[in-house]
Amino acid sequence: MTLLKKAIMVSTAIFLLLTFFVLIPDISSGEDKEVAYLSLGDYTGPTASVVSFVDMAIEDYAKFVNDKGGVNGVKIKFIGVDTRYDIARAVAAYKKYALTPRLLGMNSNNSNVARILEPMIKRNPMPVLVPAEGTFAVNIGYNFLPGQCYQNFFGAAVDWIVNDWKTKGKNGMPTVGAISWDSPAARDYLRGGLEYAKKIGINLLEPESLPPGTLDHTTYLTRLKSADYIYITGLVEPGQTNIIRDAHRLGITTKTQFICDFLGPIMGLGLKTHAQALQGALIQTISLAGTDFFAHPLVKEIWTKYRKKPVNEAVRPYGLGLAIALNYEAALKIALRDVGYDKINGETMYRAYQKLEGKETTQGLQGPCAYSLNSRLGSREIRWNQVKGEAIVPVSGWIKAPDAVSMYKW
Amino acid sequence: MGIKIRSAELFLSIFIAVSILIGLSWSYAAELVVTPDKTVLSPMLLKQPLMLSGSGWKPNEMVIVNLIPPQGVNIKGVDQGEDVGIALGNANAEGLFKVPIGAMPILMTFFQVDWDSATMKPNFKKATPLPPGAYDLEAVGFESNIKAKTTLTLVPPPDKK
Repeated sequence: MTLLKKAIMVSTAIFLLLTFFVLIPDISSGEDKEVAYLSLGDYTGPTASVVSFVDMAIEDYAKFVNDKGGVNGVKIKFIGVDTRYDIARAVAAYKKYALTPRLLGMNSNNSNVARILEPMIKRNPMPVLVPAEGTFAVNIGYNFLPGQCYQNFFGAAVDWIVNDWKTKGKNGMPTVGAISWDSPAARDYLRGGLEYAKKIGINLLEPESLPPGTLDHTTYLTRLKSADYIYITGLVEPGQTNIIRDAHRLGITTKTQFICDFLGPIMGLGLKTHAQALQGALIQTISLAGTDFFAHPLVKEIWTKYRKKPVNEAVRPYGLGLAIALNYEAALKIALRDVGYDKINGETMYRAYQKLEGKETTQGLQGPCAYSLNSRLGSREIRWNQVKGEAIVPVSGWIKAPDAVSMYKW
Repeated sequence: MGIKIRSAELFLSIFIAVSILIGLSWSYAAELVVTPDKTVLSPMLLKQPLMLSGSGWKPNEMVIVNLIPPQGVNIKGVDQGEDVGIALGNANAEGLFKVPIGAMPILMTFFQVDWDSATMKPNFKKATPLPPGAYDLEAVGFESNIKAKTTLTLVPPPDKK
């Protein structure tokens, strides 16, 4: 055999060996079994007050599960990236971590990031948590909401308002104002919300939109001062508290009931400072809030063990993070049962998420899970809470929100 | 003599195998340009952004541009030495792309501002701007993994007279 022929044979053998070890997915030997969860978090920036606590909870719950040996021996690796509210950072981080072995879930934390990554997710599928925009609720795909969507929140507020109006023995329909940040995501509640309001028949004033970072809300509140109820949505704290603070200063809170969405006032984050202004404000949530949140056994156990602080220093988004982690764990159990560790991947996890419908996966932190073949809502239920004294107390159980999102022509 | 021939065979075999592997991973010659390539780090970059342009990417693919921090430069939110995304754009049908470095990367990565959640605005008082120096920028095709590099030099601000 000539030298060249020998060289080609040997090089082909080397090439095939390299290909086998580099490209073939590793087959578990049964040790160090691990799956991963990636969060493109904003730990610095406008949404940090929510996202950082959500991710703390997911990280802590992963440790909690791993400390007990994992899910059927499979440990959860939490990968949290501070994307600093920068889309380029977020997308670059996704590319960096996308090929993490057995990456079975991701939180985009940002609607624009979720949209940009959609084509990539279709090529490397896995369930992706997204913000509460209606388009993600109605377009059944790989995007999953942690709870309800903005328009159904608004619909629930409309229902509450009308019930309250009638309970007070008033005639006709109430006048309702609404105020949000001036961004497509924050105004999303109107896509379906307007239609629902019209159907119910409330007198909805022209919704107000204000630039993020507005320090004085006098102009916007003055235009809404005839409202019996004002709904605030799509602003993270302290935005909603600041609006009510200014309304109190203007004397509007004496005659107008303020209603905040799930991003509203949080015990431990400024509520004490503005407690007088916030008195009576209603807050709708997708997870336990206030006194119920602090009393939840899992919140107490996980927060005190892994944050090493008293539970009264925990904040509501931490409970939502635990709910997200519990849903991931529940889906993982299903996926492992269905296909086993060696065959588990993002697609099998995606199918597993859709088998969670009706299950009490979150130990009461949320209502029953609603993920199914036809639903991307974490739960259909919301809960009402109210500021009383320096606390937020629940004033309802889990209530199913109306399907306002379906009324919009998407 | 026999040993020399066997060594030569092995060397040639490895050379051919490595060449095949390199050839498979390289099919385009891409280029990345930053304009201007030297600048003072100033708020003017928010109004007159740095422009990134390039060629040689897979048609219509997304291209991400990362900043590679030099040794000793800490970037908030990432581990020491880790790349940070600063821009993304889409190549056109000819594999060309052009995209500015937007306001958020300038604020969050170049100036490294903190965030004032009370005003919902960047907090320049707690900013730790990138120091003057040469910074490698690397563009990566999202699908093709084609890469190209260039260098952006942050020059010291002029002395105040």
